[in-house]
Amino acid sequence: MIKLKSAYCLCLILLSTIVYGQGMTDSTFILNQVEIKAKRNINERGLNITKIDSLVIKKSANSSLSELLSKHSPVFIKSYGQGSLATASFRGTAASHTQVEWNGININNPMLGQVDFSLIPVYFIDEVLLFHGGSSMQKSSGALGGSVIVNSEPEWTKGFNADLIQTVGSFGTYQSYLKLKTSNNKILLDLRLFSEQSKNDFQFYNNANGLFNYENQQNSNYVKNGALLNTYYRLGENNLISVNIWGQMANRNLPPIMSYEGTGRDEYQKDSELRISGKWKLYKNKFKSELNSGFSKTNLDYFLANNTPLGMFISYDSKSNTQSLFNKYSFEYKPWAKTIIAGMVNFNYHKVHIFENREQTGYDKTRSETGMKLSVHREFFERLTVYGLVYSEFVDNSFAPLMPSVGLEFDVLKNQNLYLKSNFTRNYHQPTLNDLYWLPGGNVDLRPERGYTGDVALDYSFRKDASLTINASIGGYMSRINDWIIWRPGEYRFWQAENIKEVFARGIEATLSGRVVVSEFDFEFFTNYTFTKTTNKEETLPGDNSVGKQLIYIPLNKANVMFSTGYKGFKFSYNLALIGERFTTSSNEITRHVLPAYSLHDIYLGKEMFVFGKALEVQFRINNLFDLDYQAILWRAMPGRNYKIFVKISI
Amino acid sequence: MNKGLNINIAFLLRTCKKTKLWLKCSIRKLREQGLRILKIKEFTFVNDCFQIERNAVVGIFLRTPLIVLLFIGFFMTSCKPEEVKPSVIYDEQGGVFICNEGNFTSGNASLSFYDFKTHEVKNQIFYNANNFPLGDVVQSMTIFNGYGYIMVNNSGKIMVIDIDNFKHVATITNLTSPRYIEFISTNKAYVSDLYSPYITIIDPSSNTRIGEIYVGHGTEQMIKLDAYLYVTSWSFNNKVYKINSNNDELVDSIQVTKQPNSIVKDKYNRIWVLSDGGYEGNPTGQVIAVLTCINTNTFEIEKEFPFSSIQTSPTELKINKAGDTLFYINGSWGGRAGNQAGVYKMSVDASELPSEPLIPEGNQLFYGLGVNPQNSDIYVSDAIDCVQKGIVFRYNADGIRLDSFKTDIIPGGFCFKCRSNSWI
Repeated sequence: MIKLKSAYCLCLILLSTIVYGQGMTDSTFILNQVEIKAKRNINERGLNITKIDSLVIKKSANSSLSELLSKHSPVFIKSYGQGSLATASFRGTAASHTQVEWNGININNPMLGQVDFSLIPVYFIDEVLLFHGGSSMQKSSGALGGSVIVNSEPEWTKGFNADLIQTVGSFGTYQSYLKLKTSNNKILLDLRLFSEQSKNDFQFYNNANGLFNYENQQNSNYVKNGALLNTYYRLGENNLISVNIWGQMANRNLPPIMSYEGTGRDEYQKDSELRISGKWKLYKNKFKSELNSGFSKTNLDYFLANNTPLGMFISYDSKSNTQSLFNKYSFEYKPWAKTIIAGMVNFNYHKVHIFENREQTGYDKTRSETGMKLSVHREFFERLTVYGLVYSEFVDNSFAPLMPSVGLEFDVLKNQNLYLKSNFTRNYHQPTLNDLYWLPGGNVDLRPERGYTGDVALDYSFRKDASLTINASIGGYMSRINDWIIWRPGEYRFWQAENIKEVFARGIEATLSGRVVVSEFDFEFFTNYTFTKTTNKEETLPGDNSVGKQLIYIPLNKANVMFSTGYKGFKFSYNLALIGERFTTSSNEITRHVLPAYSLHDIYLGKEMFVFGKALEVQFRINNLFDLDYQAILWRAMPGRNYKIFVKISI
Repeated sequence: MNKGLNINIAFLLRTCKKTKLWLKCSIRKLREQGLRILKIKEFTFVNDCFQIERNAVVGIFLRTPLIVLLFIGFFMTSCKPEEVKPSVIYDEQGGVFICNEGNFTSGNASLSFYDFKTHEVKNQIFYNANNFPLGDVVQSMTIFNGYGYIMVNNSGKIMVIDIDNFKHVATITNLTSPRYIEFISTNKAYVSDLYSPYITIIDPSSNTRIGEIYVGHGTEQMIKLDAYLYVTSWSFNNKVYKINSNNDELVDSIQVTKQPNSIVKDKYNRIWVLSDGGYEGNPTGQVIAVLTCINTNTFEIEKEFPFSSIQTSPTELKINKAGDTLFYINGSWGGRAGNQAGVYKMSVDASELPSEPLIPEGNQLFYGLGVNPQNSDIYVSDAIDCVQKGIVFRYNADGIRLDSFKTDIIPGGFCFKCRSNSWI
């Protein structure tokens, strides 16, 4: 019952926000805040957006965003192991084709173009939205696969709240999380801290060096610490000012691959980030505007030294830092009840410095981006909504071609919650600064990658008071990406970037989730399945055997199943991740070059209780229940069965 | 003449200790019954077992029906016990090993073998023979005394194989980033290393490391001439070092054009060094690539052949067996050499560089080069997009294309196995 109570509490909180919102502003504001509603806001119609359930986010408090997305979304996460680099492949595209926005500012590294999702703690996030394919144009350009939007959301509960989470896990893994929050009607302060460390010295069976022994993973320990401060200030009735400050550092040693038998290495990566986002939101009758400025500074140091009999010999010592400024003004105007006009102007500036000490190479470059967006959403005959959008961009003063997007949404069964959505988009992804300027191999003559994508999806939801909820959606997409950039070695024996591949990506995304409450039992389930076929379209190189073949490291099939049940404060949850086989060669060779499909089973058992009036939650988790020996990436060892104890105290 | 039994074993599933134990007991029983067992060989694949011993009588033993199926091939044979190498011979006229580098940090390097007689290529021969991978980035392979020494650069080790059956014999571990090996004697070999400031000395008789020679910089290709070893230092350096192989001492060095990547010796006992000149935008600046001829008696530069354009970047200097004809690939940064790119052939007596390529690159991208010491056939590779099977083209010495075949990811180094001579 406690579980139910807390769920109701949450609903009440949400409802109270809505009611409160109604009292003070107009309907546009309300819709944006509503969690449970019958019909989507007009300006979200026709778009393929997945919102990760807020209860799932709360439940995954001690994981990273990479784990959350790999278990609860269609995005495929390519992970090098616990705590290590994890990049996303959204709809079968490259890591740099997923744009990630945190509280309005883009957090893709301008050098690499990608985001390491293992460095985003779910504890620091309140909302996760996925904008699939062309729908991402609502947020920014360049997301050929889609966008991942992570936000902090204020919870206007009066007074002081705190919670503390401590976990202890296998391989010397400790995680601590603390949240302190205080608010009155006007001001909300929300401070969150986290610290995670792990020896990560798990045992694995090494079949890569001829010894066929059990070995402990070497040099894979890591430490991560972070702090987030969210400040919100309500100015009068129609203004909300917020400042989010996120600072974090991660020191990770990088383990060698399984076949390594050298003298021993000292290899590490150090990441540190400071991100600040300030927003001023203004809500007026028929008009909503938002001014967003941000700053981000990231440092990434990579070091590799070999221990030799004559001492340490450094082979790589690079330090890089990026500084970015973000400015964005966006508005929504509702001239008539069924029309929304939205516009956006942004100006971003990136400054990158990278230097490698041994070879004394590096570059100092800047990039400026100016973007403009205008869109119109219009509802016709109550059941059809159509939108049109145009995005234009100047990058370093050169004008990128116009990027249009059009879409529609049709209410198939009048007010029965079945919607048909479709959209079509042209998009561009600029080469990353490394693609352009990396020494050696960067290529200043690179063209932007061009994407065309079309989507069709059906959404259905069914709700019978609080006891039964079912959501289902199925959709298909097709994308064509031209001038896809790859790196390959030239005659100098170093790699260089070229616009080589012509890629055709298509797939199916399906989800089914629901909740059933039967007397004191509370069942929840979530399943998703994605079929991703991303193939190389044209033979651009002589002898190329990759035409019509699946791109490397993108599984054709991926599925997740989550089932959980609650009874009188007890909770049981089962999570299954199924990852299909992945090719590691562009020609899809079978012999020795395929990573077989695998399935990972995780379970946990938990109990929520009150001790001296404080909410206490204890969980026991088992990951990789069947102790599967698998590889997510060629010859990278992965841990077998492992355990975690989780304790949370809330005040 | 001894009558006896050869046993060939292939396991259908992974070998476990229990199975092995059971096998030992079975063999003991056979011995007790008075059979003479000459040789026991293990194969990774059942197929291999049959292919090698074609006229084998096959016995199938079922141990635990659900778990282990065991195949044993009996082969009645007669052979002399004093025969040193009764191992399986795949090739009659030799062939060439092709080192497929694989992708850096992916551990997918592999070895291919092209048979001169059958003109067939076998890929993944190491993995297939040993049931484990070679490792991460294979730079080169050299044959010595019937064994192949494979430099697994980013795994910090050298894999030693039997060149006839590709079986793993030993692993020389605890290296940094081995690139090439040069044999001095049966007890001594030098290993160059990209990321350590010394040359490692190993003992091929025991396959262990026995010392180092400090040179202060990463080292690349080596050539032995009399008692001396000449070593290029490629990465961001411009030196050729001279090492006395009797006392393992660095005795001299000579400055050549930036980034000497390959070295050969000719029939006049001169050494030729090919320098690529560095790349555009590198911190020490780019210079025109030069082919340098060094007189080993005086250890001075005898001739220098500068290339015509700063855009060209020659690599992979090779020489034929007679030591009178040089071969190299002249490529370019981002393909800017246009139709000048290709494989070039040059006499060691020539007074200038050849102006036309022997094999124009066309729309290929040439990567590795090998010259067969027996007939000067030219092998040149193209890695395509580097994440699929690369192609090897075979030409005769006049540049006429003979055939081509696909190997594995990034074919780079060629190592010739010649039956007719004691090629080292």
